[in-house]
Amino acid sequence: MKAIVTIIFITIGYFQGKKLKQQNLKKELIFYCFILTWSYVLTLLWLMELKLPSDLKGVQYLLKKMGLTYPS
Amino acid sequence: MSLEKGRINKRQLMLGVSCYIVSAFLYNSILTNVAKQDVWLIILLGFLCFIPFHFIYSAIHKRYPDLTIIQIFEKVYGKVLGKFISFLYFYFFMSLAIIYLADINDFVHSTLLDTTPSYMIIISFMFICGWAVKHGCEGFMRLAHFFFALVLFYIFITTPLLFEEIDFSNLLPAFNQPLIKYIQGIHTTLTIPIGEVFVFFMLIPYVTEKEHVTKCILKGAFAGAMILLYVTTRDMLVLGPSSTVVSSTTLEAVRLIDIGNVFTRLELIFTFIFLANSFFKMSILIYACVFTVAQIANTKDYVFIIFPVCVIISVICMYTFESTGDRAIFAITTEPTFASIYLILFPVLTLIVDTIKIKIIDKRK
Repeated sequence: MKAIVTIIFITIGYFQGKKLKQQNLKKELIFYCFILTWSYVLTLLWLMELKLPSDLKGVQYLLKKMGLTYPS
Repeated sequence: MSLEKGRINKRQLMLGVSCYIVSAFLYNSILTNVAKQDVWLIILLGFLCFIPFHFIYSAIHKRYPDLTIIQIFEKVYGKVLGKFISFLYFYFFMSLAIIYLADINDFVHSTLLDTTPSYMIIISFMFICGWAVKHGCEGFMRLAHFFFALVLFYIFITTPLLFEEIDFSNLLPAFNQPLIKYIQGIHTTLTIPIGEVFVFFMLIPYVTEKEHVTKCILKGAFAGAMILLYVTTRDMLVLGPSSTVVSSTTLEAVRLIDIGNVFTRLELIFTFIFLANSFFKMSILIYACVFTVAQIANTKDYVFIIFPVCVIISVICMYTFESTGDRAIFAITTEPTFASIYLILFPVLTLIVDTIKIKIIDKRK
C-alpha cells in the first residue's frame, strides 16, 4: 500500500512539473524541483521506515534547556 | 500581480475566525488538564489577554492594509532579514498544520477507523484540504457560514439532552490551583486556540471591506472564545474530574447522552461537525503555508506548491508524535512558548521597528 501511495505521489509530481514546463515558467519550475525533491526525500525515508528525529521534539528539547517550558 | 484572485467578505472572515477557534474542541482536554475545574476562568482571561495583542496586529494591518504578513516583514526588515523571518513563519505554520493533523489522525483513529493505517487517514484528509486550497480562499471561506451553523446546531441539540448529567459541584473547589497553573492556562489559551487567528493575516489583503477587518477578527474571536468557554465548561460540569484524563472532553460528554435508549450515540453528530471544522482549519493552515512559500520565492502562481507542501506535512506528521500522550505533553509544556515567539514576540518587534523607521524617515524629511 505504501508503495502505491509513493507511485501516486511521483505521478502527480511528474505531471505537475510537465504542466509548469508547458507554461514556460522557468523560475517556478526550478523552485518546484527543489521543494518536490525535499518532499520525495521525506517520502523515501518514510517508505524505508527509518526512525527520524522529530523537529518539534528538537524545539521541545531546546526550550527545556533554556528553561522556557512549563512543568507537565 | 496578485497571487489570489478570490475575494472574501467581512462576514465570512468573522465566521471563519470563529470556526477556527471552535475547532479546538478536539484538544480542549489540554486546557482542562492545566486548570482543571477553573478552566472557564482561564478561557475567559485568555481571551481578555488576547485583546491587547489584537490591537498590535490591527496597528500593523492599518499601516499595510494591502499586504500579507510575509510582505510586511520584507517591507519592515528589508529583503534578506525579511525573507529569513518569513521562512521562520513558514516553519511555524507548517508546525501548526503538523500538530493539528496529528490531532485529527488520533481522533479519527480512536473514534471511527481504528484498524485503518494512520497514513491513509492523513493522506486522504490532506488530499481534500489540498483540493480546497487549490480553488482559492474564496471557496473554503464561503463554507464558514455552514460550519458555524453546524456548531450552533450541535450546541442547541446536545445541551438540553445533557441537563440530567450536569452537576454544578464539579466546578468546586474554585480558585484553589497554584498560581503557575493559572498563568500556564492563560498563556495556553492565549496562544493555542485564540492567538492562532494570526494565521488570518495571510487572508486579510483579500477581504473586500478593509476598514472592518480588525473589528471582524475581534468579533469572530469573541464568538469563538465564548463558544469554547461554554462547551468546555459544560463538559466540565458533566464529566467532572474525569475530563482531565480523556483526549476530547466534548466527545466524551456527548457519549453520555442516553434518552430512553432512543437518543444515543450522538457523538457521531459531533464527529461529523468536528471533522468539518477540522477541514476548515487545516485548509487555512495549508493555505498559509503555501502562500508563505509562494511569497518568499516570488512565484507567479501558488497552485504547484500545494502538492509538495501537503506531502511534506503528511510525512513529517507520521513520525512527529509517538502517541496521544506525547502530543498532550508537547501542548502543555512547550507549545505556548513556541507559539509565543511567532504570535507575540515577532509582531511586537515588527511594530516597534516599523515605528522607529517611520520616525527616522520623518526626521530626515
